[in-house]
Amino acid sequence: MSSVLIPSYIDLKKVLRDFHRSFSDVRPWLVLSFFEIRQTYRRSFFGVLWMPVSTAVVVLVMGFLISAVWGNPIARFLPFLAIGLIIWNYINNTVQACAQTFTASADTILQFNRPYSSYILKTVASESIRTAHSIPVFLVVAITFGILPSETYFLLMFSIPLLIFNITWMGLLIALVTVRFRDVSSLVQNLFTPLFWLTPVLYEPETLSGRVRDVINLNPLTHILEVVRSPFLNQTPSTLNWIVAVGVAIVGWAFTVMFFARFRSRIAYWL
Amino acid sequence: MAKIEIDNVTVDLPLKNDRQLSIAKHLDRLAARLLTGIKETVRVREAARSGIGGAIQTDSRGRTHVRALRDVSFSLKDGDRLAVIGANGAGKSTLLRVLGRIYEPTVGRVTVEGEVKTLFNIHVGMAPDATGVELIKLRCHLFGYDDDQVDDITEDVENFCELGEYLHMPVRVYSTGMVVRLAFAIITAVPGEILLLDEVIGAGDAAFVERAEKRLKTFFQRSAIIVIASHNYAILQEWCNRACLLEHGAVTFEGSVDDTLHAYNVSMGRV
Repeated sequence: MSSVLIPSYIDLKKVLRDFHRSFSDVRPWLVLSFFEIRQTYRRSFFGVLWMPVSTAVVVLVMGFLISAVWGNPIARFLPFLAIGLIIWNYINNTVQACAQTFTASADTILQFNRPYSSYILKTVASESIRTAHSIPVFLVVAITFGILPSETYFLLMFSIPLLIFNITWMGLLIALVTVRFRDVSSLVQNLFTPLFWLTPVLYEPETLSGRVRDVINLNPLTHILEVVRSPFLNQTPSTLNWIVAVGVAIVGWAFTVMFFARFRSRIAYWL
Repeated sequence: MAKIEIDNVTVDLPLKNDRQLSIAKHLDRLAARLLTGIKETVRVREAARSGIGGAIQTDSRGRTHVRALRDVSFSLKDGDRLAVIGANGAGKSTLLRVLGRIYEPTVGRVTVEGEVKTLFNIHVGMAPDATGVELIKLRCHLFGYDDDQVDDITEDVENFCELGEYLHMPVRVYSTGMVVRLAFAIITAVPGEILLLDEVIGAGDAAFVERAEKRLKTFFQRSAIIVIASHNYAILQEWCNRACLLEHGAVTFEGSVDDTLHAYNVSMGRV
């Protein structure tokens, strides 16, 4: 007669080893991420070019409609909407895809001893490659309306890695929780719709005032989005934007690493 | 020098009962605890032993587990070829996953020295829309082989599976036997120091089975330690020099393959 044994220790060393293994051998997950993209578009003629096409369609339809209804000047609004949507979709798609990553790779995980973080990195890499295909749509729109790339683009050297850094902890955390509680992937999917409206993608934060603006500012995604979007629009992100985006990255990673350290050894069992 | 040492290994597998895993149930229990202030009394039960499988246990928090391995210890050194014998659900696959460092044991220590090759499910990674050649390359990159090795392996696999032109067509158009040929050829292309096999030989026509056995022989000869779980006793007798009998997750007999098979038959009431 004995009780069920569940190890309940936090093993940071094994987590570091997991990340170390992923980063000391990047080829496996990079190759897999390209393979995954090729798989998605395997039998289509335009392939990954569908990505910019769909972005362009959504931006044009939404852009003209919204500026007609709200009376926004199109020259200002369309580039703003284009880059906002591209970044939002990047965050949304990556987090949703990460939620499915461990369960979708169950066969591989149960056969080969490979670092768990490499599966998340693979997903982040393939979503990043996909998103990169949409950036030209923004550039075309921006240049059409006279927003030419300027020195604020240098800020992207910090803000894009920061965005990826933030997306990766979110993806890893949600993937970990989803393995155990399958409902979480649906929960997150549903959570992202209200979050979309609470994040200034379709409206400019400057147009808001009072309490509404405070609420929007409480949403960390507002700041995570803004540090990447502003430089594309030749603006400088505010200090608050930077502080929140960096703060969320630090706190998010600290929490995720502890969570990972606690439950890493259970992933294979929960698949 | 390859080496495997496992010491008092116990593995509890969480039962994937969807109701057990739902968030609602956890919230329920949490609410009950908060409202009544009473923690549920410890209720550990061991399910009535059925003929097969490990003991089913439920702990104080209502989590149900199967004790898949119970206090298993043994050590293997270069030249050891261990046959793992046991009924369905005796813990053979769990043991192999522990040796492959996929399941971290709940209790006990595992030391594995040497490069491990696992061959549990030959269909892993067979993406239907990819061509045979792509899959060969993908698998090679996953295991970190450099480009020269990839070419050698590709040639070797092409020669062995005799799929000719089909290798450049999507796997989706292959017959079942053709998929088995390709999968088997890929996975047996490069031997590891330690080889873990779980019931993989089977499908394929007579000519293929003969060739597969020949290929396995050279594969075996190049591995320092082999652990095979199989119900194919002819293969175990030919290839293994020691054996262990697993019953309800515990090792109940160790010895030569013939003796262990005899002990197995006795315990199953067949002698």
